[in-house]
Amino acid sequence: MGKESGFTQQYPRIDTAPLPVEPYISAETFELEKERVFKRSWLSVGRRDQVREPGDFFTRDLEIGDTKILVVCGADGQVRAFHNVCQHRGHQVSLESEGRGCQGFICEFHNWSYGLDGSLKGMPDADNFVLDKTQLGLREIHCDLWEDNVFINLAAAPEHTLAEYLGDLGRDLSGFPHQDYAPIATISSELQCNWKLVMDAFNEAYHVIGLHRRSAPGAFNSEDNPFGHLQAVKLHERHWTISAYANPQQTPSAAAGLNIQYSAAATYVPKHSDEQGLTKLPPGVNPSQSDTWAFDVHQIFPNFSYYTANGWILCQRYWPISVDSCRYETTLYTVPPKTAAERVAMEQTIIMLWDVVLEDLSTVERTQPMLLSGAIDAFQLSDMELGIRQHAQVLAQAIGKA
Amino acid sequence: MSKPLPDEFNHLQSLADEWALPTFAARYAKRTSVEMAELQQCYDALLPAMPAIMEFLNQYPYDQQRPAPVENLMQLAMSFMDISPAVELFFQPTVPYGKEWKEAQLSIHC
Repeated sequence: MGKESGFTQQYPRIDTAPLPVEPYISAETFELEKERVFKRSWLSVGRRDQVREPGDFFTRDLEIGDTKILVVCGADGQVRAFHNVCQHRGHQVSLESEGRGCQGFICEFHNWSYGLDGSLKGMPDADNFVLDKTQLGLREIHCDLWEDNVFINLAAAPEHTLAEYLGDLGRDLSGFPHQDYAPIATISSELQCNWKLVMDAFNEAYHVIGLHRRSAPGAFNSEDNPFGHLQAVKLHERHWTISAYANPQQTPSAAAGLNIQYSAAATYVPKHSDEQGLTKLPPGVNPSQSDTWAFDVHQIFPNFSYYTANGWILCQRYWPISVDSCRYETTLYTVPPKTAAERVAMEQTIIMLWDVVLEDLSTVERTQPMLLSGAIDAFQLSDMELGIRQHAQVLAQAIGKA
Repeated sequence: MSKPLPDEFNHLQSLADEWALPTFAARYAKRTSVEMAELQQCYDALLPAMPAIMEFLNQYPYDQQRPAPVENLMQLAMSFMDISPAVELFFQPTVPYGKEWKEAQLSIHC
């Protein structure tokens, strides 16, 4: 596949010049990303399975929002998000990372207590205060769900609803069995690099024949498609999808063969199209209707990668901490094992996810210091790295530097 | 025999004593702390037994408690999976040029 049949030319609005390195090392750009992107965009922070029943909750650090958040399922079943900040003197209310079925929250400092809906319930020696309890609930953050994914928006008045924000991409994924899958494994790591380097690493398949040549030999390329060209690249206004190629002739290893035999979802060994039930998928999944489709990566601006495949999904986020540090997290969801043998098969999926992620995370920290060397000013991007251009362009527009 | 196996898998007992480890972290720490020769030996001994092990384990529901020998066998089989990339793909215990694994966390939900 040469340039004449490329994806990039379908999108004349995309700048095809080399991509400047400056936004990856600029403290000024980082501040603009924080104020104009992360404090205004809908951000994926978790999944409904973490807040399924009343009293289920989780907290998380949100350095890029200058806050920590508390997400909780109320007695009414509604999922709400709050700043995890006591309205008395600013201490963090919940010190737990997650919990199930709690009745409310009590601040460790002076024991002010809050309900699952964030309302202030009371405090010791209440008669000694002059205040209006009804005005002192936990400060709420806009929160909404899309296909079991929990999103928040830190803006006082978000510019769009979540459905508007997700737009065509959200609609095109409707009908996929998002709810059928349970969490299997989560990998997280703090990384000493700019968050965009990490997202870029999961924004193309060009690296697979290089970086993953040991871990995934012949899985995502073939004689017909030697460089593992993407099956589809579809750009939306601010989000985009890339779809990876699977070699239908690949030979699984012995361990992978056992996985295929016993597991509901063999992550790296997609079955052939006849067994995939491709016609049942919504238009956003395998958008080119390829019979050599491996999986899609739906890149939801600014920092969420939502993978859809035959039998599994994966939620991956890249959280900026500073211009040269970030937190990576990924969770695989699939059909949970029913027998001990299926659990053993699942272990092959888990170990491959882990070892492959250790490959993926290795390059980004080696790259960041070199961006300060002055020896590289811009990234040279191929047609297969169009997703990186889209992300850069949407970001540049959002921070007013386009 | 600190980690007994079901009778029909007695021949794997010495491997179980070393490799029937209860957590992913313990199994990965073990994989990355031994020489390649030991990984190869373990893999070669388990590979021909794996079809029978899987057939045996497939009788046991995952969400119910299993007899200790069955649990040990399952943990041994999970070690086979965890060392398999080292033997089949990397030809060394760790990921070549990979991120230092102790700098990342893996938690299992299932």
